[in-house]
Amino acid sequence: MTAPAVLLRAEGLTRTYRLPRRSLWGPAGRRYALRGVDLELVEGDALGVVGESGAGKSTLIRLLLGLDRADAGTVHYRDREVRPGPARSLTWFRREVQIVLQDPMSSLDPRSRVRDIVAEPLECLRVEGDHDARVDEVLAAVGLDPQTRTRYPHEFSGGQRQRIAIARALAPDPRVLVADEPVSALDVSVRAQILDLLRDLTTRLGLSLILVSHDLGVVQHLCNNVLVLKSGEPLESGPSPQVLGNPQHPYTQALLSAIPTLPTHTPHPKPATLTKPAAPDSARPAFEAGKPGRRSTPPSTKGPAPPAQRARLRPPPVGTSEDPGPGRRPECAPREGPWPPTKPKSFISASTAKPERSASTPASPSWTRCAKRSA
Amino acid sequence: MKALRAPGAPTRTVLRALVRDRNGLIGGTLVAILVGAVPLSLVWTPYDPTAVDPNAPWLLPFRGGHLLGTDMLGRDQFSLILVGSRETLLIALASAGIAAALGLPLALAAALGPRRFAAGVVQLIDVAIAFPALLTAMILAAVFGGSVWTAAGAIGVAFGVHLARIARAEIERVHGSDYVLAATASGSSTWRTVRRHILPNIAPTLLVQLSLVMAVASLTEAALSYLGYGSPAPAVSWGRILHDQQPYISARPLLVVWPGLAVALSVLGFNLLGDALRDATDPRLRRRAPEAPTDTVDVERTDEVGTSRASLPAHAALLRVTDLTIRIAGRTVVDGIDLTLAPGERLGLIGESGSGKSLTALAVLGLLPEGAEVTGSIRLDGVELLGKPERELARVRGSRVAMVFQEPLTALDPTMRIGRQIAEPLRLHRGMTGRQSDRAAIDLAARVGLPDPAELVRAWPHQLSGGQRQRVGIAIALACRPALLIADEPTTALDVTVQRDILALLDELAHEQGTALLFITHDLAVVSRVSDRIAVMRTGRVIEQGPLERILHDADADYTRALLAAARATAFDATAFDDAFGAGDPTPGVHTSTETVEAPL
Repeated sequence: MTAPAVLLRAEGLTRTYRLPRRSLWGPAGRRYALRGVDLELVEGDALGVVGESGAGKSTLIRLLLGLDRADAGTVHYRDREVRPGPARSLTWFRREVQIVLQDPMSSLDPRSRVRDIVAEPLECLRVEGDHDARVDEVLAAVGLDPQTRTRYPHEFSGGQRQRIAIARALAPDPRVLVADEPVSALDVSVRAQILDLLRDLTTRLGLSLILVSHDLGVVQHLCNNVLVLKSGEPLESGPSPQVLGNPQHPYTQALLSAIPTLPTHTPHPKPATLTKPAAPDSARPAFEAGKPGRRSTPPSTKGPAPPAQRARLRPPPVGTSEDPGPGRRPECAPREGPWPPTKPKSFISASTAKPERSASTPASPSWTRCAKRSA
Repeated sequence: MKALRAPGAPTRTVLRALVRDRNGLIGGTLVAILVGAVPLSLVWTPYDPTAVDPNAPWLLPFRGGHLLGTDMLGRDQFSLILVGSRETLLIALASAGIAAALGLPLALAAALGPRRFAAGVVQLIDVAIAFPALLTAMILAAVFGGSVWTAAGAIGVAFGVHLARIARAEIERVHGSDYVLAATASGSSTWRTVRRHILPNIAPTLLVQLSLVMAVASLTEAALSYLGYGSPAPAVSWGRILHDQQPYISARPLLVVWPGLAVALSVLGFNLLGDALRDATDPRLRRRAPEAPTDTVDVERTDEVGTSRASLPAHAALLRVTDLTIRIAGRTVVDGIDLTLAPGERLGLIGESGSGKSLTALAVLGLLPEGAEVTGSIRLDGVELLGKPERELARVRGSRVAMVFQEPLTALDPTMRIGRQIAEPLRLHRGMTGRQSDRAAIDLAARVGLPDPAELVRAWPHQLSGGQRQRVGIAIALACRPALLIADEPTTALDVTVQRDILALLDELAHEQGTALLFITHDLAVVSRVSDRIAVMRTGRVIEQGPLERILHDADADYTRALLAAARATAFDATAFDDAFGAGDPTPGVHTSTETVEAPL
C-alpha cells in the first residue's frame, strides 16, 4: 500500500492579536495566539489537538477552516490553498471539511427548525439532490428520529442537540470532520454516547477527524495521532501511544499526571447498558451493492435507521492508494478500499467494524461527488 | 414589521400564541380598533365631522344623539375622533417604516461593514442621535409647512438612528454566536446569514422598538398638532382636537378627555402588541419544552433499592436534610431527598445536569430562586433553616455555611479589589475593622497559596488567572472558618493541572479546619479525590449513597454502575499504553505552574 494521501496540511500557522495600548506612545503590544504550528492530516487519520485554555486551540480551528486569516503560514487541502474569503470561493473546501462545535446549546439557531439547521450546508454549498431526504438520512444516521425535523432545538436535550450538530456536519458528505471539544459541554453518560457515535461514524463513513480537546481521555479514545499545544506553540506531536504513553515534554507529562482518575483496582462490576444500540453491529452488512436510488426506501420513522440504510449514508470509502492528485477524484468511479489505513490503537469498543471491501458498489446517484462536481 | 417575522413561524401559530397571551389580546384589540376605525371613518361617521351646528354646542355625552357630545361649534365629538384615527395610524406607520428603512441598513453597515467604514457609520449614528425628534419636527414644519409627512419624517429619522444603535448591538451579539459561526463553516454567505439567522434573531428586539416608535409617533403627532405645527386646519387629528379644546378646558373638561384617551389607548395598544409579538414569535416560549428530555443513561427507574440512609444519631449530624422537596413552576425538581453530614465529613453529591444537585445546595443556603416551593427539613447544628427569616439566614451564610462557585470569574465582583472581597465576610460576621480585616485578608491569601499575598490583595479580579480566582473564592468561603463548605463544581471551569491543585487545596484546608465538605460535581473522577461518602442523584432523587469505596466498586443501583462505566469509558487510561512502552507511567512530581499573574500588578 502506498502512503495515504495528505488531506489537510498547515504550515507555520501564526496568528497574533493586538493587546490594548499600555501607553499613548509606545507601540501596541502583540500576543501570539498561535505561533508556527505545523499540522498534517492524513486520510483516515484521527488527529487530536490537546491543550489547556489559552493554548490556541480555537484559533487553530478557525484558521484551519478558513474562518480567520493567519498572519503567517498556509493551510492546504489536497494541495490546494485554503484562503479565507467570500463564502462562494470556499465552497469546494466546505463540501469536504465540516465542523462540530463545542456547545450544542449555542451552536444551533434557536429560531430554526431541525430540518433547516441540518439542510443549511446543503443549501449553502448548493449540493444537488433531495435535501429533505438527505436530512432524514443523516438524522437517522446520528440516531435521531427523522420525524423530529419539524422541531426546534430547545425541545432537545444536550446530547440530542449535539447529534443534530453532527448531522448538520455530515449532511454535505464531508471527508474531514473537525470537532471542537465536541463533548465537553455534555454529561458523562451522554459523553460516552456521543464519542461512540463519532467513532462509529468516522469509521463507517471513512471520515478523517481533527479533534480539539482539553480532555486527554477523549483524545485517547478517538485519535491515533496527537498534537500538544501550549500558549500557541506546538510542544509535542506524534502517534497517540507515543505521546500519551511515553511523553517527552515536561508539560505533556504534567498534563498527564494531573488527570483525575477513577480508582480501578477491583474488577468492574458488569456495567449497565449505556448506549441505546445504534445499530446491531453484527447485522451490519457490507455496503449494499446495487441498491437503487436512495429514496426507494424511505427512512424509518422511529429510532435509528436500520443498518442497511445507514451504511448507504456514504458511498464506499475511497481507495486511498489511487488518489489521482490535487483536488481531483476519480470521476464517478466506484470507490473502494480498506479504511482506516491505520487503525487507531486506542479504540476501545468492538464496534469499529471495518467496512468490508465491496467489489462493485456504484455510488448512489443523487449524492455522489460526481453530482456535486457538476453543480 | 411583517417582513421581520421569523421564518418558519407560520402566521397561524403566531396568532394563536398572541391570543393566548393576555397582553397580546388587549394590545391586539386596541390596535385592531384603531385600524378598524380608519376604513369605517371613510365610509361612515354618525355625523359629518366638519358640520358646524350652532344650535347644539357644548352638548354632554348622549345628548341629542351625540355619543360623546359636541364641541363649541356643535361638531360631533365621536365623528371627529373617528376621523382623527386616520392621521394617527398614518403617522405611526409612516414613522415606523422610515425608522426601519433607515435604521436597519445603518445597523448592518455599522456591524458588518469593513472596519473603517463601520466606525464611520457608528460616528454618524452617534451624531444623529443628538438631534431631538420634536425639535426637528418643529423646524421641518416651520420650513415646509406642517403636515403628516414632516412629522413622520422627523420622527422616523430620529428614531431610525436610535433603532440603528440598538440593532447594531443586537446584530453583533448574534453575529458572534456559535450558530452563526457554524453557518459560516457550512458555507453560508454573509448576506444569507443576515437573512436566515441574524434578522430572525434580532426581530424580537426590533418589533418592540418599532412598536415603541409607533407609540411615540402617535404621541408626537398629538404634541405637534397641539403646538400648532401639525396638519393645517381642515385636517382632523387627535392632537388638533386637543389643541382646539384647550382654551375651554376648565369649562368642559370632558372634551379633552376623549381625544386624550384615544391617544393613550393607541399608545398602550402598540406597546402591548409589540411585547406580545416578541414573545409569540419566539419558538422557545411558544411550546413548552418536553419535561426533562432524556437521552442519558438507559436504565430503569426501579433501581432505588440501593438507598441506604446514613444513620447518624440526630445530635451528631452537622447537616441533616430530611424529605427535602423543591418545586419550581409546578415541576418537582427535587423529590424528597435525605442527606446527612457529620462534622468534618466529606460528602460528594454527584448527578447529571438537571438532577437537582445544585438546587439542593442552594436550598441549604436558602438561595433558591424566587417562587420555589420548598418542603421538608434542613437542619444545621440541629437548627431548622427552612422558613427562617432572611436576616437570620444571612447570619448563617458565610459564617457557618459557605459556598465556592463554579465560575471563578463571575463569582467575584469585578469592581472590588481582591483583599476587600476576601475580607468582606470577616467584616460582616466578625465585626472586624478595616485594618484588621485587611491584615486577615493577606493571611488568608497566603493560606490558599496565592503568590505575593501582600501585593495581590490590591489587585483586581481580572488581573488573576482562573485558578487564582478560584483560590480567592476559596479564601472568601473559608474566611470565617465555616462548619460546612459547599463546593458546586468548583473545578469544572479550570484546566486539569489547575484543577488538581485546587482539589488538593480544598481537601487540605477542609481537613485542617475540620470543615465538612459538600462537593457537588458530575465528574466521578474528581469526586473520588475529595469525598469519604457519595450520594448519587438522578431526576431529583437520591438513588444511592454510601462510602466512596463501596460506590466505586460495588454499587447497588444500575444507574450508578452505568455512570461509572461511562466515566471509565471516556476517562484517560494511563495503563493503555503500558504494553507498548514498559514504563508508561508519566513522571510524577513534574509540576508546572500555569498560574501566573497575567498582568503586572
